[in-house]
Amino acid sequence: MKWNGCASNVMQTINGWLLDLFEDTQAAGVVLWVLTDEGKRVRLHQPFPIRFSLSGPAKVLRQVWRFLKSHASQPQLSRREGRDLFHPEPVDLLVVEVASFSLQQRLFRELLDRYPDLLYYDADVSLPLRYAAKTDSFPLCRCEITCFESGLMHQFIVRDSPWELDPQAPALTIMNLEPDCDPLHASPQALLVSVAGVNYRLSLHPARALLINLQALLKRHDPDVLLTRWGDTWLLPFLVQLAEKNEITLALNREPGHGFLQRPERSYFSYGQIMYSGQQFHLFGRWHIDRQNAMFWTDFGLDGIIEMARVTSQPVQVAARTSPGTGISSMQVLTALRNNILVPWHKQQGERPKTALELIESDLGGLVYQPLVGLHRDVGAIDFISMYPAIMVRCNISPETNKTGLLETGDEPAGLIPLTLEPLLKKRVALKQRAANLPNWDPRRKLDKARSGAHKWLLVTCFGYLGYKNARFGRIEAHEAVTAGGREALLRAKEASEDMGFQVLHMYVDGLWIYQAGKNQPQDFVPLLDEIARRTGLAIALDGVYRWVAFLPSRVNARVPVPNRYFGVFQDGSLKVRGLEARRRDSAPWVARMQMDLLEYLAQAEDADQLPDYIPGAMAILRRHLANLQAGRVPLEDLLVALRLSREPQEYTVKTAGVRAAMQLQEIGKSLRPGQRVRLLYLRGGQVQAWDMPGKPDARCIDLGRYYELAVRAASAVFYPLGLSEDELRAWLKGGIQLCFQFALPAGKRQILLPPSSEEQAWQTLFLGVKTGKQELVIG
Amino acid sequence: MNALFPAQLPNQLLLVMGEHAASHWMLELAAWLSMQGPVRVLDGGNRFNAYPVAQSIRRQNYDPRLALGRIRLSRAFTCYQVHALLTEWPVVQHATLVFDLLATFYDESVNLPESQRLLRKVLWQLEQLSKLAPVVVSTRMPATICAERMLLFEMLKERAGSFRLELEMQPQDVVTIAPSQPTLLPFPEGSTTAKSIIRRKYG
Amino acid sequence: MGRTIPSITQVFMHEEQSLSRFRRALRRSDQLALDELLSSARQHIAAAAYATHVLPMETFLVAMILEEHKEVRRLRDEVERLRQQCDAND
Repeated sequence: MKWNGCASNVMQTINGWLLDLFEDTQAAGVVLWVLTDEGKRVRLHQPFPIRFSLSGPAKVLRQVWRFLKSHASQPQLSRREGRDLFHPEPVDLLVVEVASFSLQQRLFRELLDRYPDLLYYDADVSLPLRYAAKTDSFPLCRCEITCFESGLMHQFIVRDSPWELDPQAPALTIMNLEPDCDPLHASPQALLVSVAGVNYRLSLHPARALLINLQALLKRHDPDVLLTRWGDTWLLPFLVQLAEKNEITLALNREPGHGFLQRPERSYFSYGQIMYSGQQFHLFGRWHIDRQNAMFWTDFGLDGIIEMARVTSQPVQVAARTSPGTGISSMQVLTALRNNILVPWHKQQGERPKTALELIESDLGGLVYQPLVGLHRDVGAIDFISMYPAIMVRCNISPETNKTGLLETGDEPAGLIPLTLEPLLKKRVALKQRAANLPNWDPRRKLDKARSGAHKWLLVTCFGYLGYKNARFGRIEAHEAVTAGGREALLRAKEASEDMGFQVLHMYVDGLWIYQAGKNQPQDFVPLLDEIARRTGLAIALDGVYRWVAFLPSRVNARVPVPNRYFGVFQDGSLKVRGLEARRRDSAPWVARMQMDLLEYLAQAEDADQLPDYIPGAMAILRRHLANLQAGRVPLEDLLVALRLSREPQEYTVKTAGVRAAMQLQEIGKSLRPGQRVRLLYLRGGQVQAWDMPGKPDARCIDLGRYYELAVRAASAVFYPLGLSEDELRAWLKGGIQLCFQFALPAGKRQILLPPSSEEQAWQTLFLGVKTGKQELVIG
Repeated sequence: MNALFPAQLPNQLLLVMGEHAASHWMLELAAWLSMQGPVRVLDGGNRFNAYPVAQSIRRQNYDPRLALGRIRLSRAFTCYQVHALLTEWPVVQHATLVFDLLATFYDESVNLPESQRLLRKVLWQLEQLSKLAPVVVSTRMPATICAERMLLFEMLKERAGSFRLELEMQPQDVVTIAPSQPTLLPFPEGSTTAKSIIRRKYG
Repeated sequence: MGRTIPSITQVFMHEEQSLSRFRRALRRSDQLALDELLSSARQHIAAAAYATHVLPMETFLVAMILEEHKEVRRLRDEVERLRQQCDAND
């Protein structure tokens, strides 16, 4: 892209990475912050006119033309034809171009008020996406820039693509900033700063000293990233206010003289669940990422967030805070812009009529089987790789393409959705293949894992997004075609497995758990995987071979299996746990830890046959945790349960523990929004206390009985598939009895006698060391 | 079931109101109509649960697959889609059922003036349709958190040729919610008081 | 966009519920037998979803018969085994 500037004719070339891009508030156009190869941060300016289009009856368009001719924003007007994905014929357009993004936004709103019946295209596309469509840029892209000394851009060339497996990465300067405690829980006293390997503790009082010191650090290190905790919800708004009150400059932005972008908190629906997103605080020329408010921080950290930004072309600060749905939407809009497909302001198309019979046959999701409950050995878990996206690409499923037969390829050119997904899918598969071959010590493993995590979320979401009501390029028929393909693929995989002598233990949407006597090495499954790939045209991989895996029934009804509640140990000894307390975000950490300890201990068994030998030890571990509880050795933090609110507290008719805790907080002015979690302790007498109430609760008031119950239930989930029922477990815990039960491996039940003495022995080896074997123990 | 519905629906815009947008009643109506000929359905609120329709058809000893095949429906998930569908639809001589018409208009992601503008157009379209064939529209009240959207409901009520209140609730609730105005009921067996058309949920 | 047709699990629960008056009037021992029948049908819920029968209860009934037949076969084999054992002992 070239611009003929006139400010100065001395030109220079810069190589570097694009850090940030936003509208220039001083002159019409965009500002680009670039990190150069020499490590400098450079500010550049570039004029960037913005276009959007209108279509409608010719008469009205002529009226609009006349109205715009004399409009103060001095738009450039032209007529042309364009392609609307949902219309077979080209549409006649009035194209409007103005000098800046904000002018365009204002003009669009004004036109919308005057001419609400017209169709608007490319009208609400964000500035970074527009720039990405024009220049192929994306956050941290390698770029070669020629510019004038004044900083006016002459040429901007992007040198790499987001699909590269090993892009050249810049050395970002990161400053960590966080208060010394959770500001929701107590009032912080100091600010903890760490930058360039040095830690600072800045007292919040006096404010002047704090601000001056912080400003000095910002100036000295000029960080690219402010990585905070509670920065969105508390810290940055607090600092800005403090600086204003004390009339001290605090340059949180790198861009001089620019304001901040604050977005309010909100609750929204996603996948039938209410979600909460806290208020946001965006910077300019520098990124602010709040670890507490970044959607996937715990899943894949900064590397994953940057990858999310790169592949979706959303600014890093946006990518850190938005749902993957928004990311997928951005990718689709970008594909549309680059392929001269108009981006409608909102989708108009409803469903093509179908009969009620067709509705019954098409309105269903993936197949979720009921597993064969109990313990199984030598189980192969196989999964289709990103099944739904792979189906979309293979069958060319897109709103504008024709339906193909189940799992068949079509001969039409690739539609918008497959065009968007294909490079992402390829990158994911390439990383997955590489992960299988990289040695454990390779530093790329961690990075690849983070990036893979980001891809996974995007790919998982893209399917749901196809059926989302506000998706611009969604279409319910396409959504249904994908699930139909998924069901077909799963059934073909089942048939192939059974044809090759495997027993299918469980199937879940895109994965199968299969068993065949004597097959427990990865290579034993290769012929089957090849056969399934041949029958379905989709890639399928071995997730692993379990030494043993246990599928659990429902807690409410032991006869009812639950599709996604299981645990197992792979050949390499690693554990996989799904749907158990150890994995649930609402579990008290102490309960989760106890369950995980049990599982990790059982995972040491080399073979399912050895599991009975580990039962006494597991019992000892359980009893030890219970003894800790009884003796008050469990910190209160570890007893916190975090319950999610799905409504405003007043809207609940039944005042559950979570609601009562939320109401306590409400009374002292700390209100929680739907989608947020409330942390609480169970107290005696059925009381609860919200953790974020002032004052520490008295440890003597803790309802130990309740936590005992939670722990026994969680432990029972582990012991149940071994053949030990919850009642038996309770009786055992009361003490004094011998326990005799059938160890429940399908091939060959075994009678186990568990005398208390063997558990005591295990206790001594596990916790006291063998030497003290003789010592008497009193267990609570 | 035959006693529930008249032999012939009049060519007019009939508005049915009730909890869950009177979906129960509407589904019964769809079943009954589908045994006689083609029916067209616009579902604005994810209400068209085809299973009770199939059961209802089966109870009449009629082939459910045959009858369900005569119901052609489209779902709309935004008010723009409701409008677009009505614009695209060809003129037909048989009945049109609109389930939960206002659901997408109550959605607060579209601002109220915009919803009003679209609803005006949609109501005009429905009125045109009802000149040639019966149009039955079901609706519910807006949720309390968007009470200002009540005026959308008033707009719809004004346009309706007749109005039917379909209540599914416990007998003791009836007194408190009985509407102040008598409701219209253009059915042979119906009277004009609200009380007589209340169908009680048994259970 | 939420689904319009309820999921097979919802349909199953609905059918279960519609049997609740029948179930209540049964003797306790018969109630337990009915519960067993229902949970045996539940095991085939994914297959029933895939079947997309317009009257899912018909598929559930077949699923119950299927499980019953498996049990019959199992018992038949067991009887056969015991008979052979008896014959051998004689």
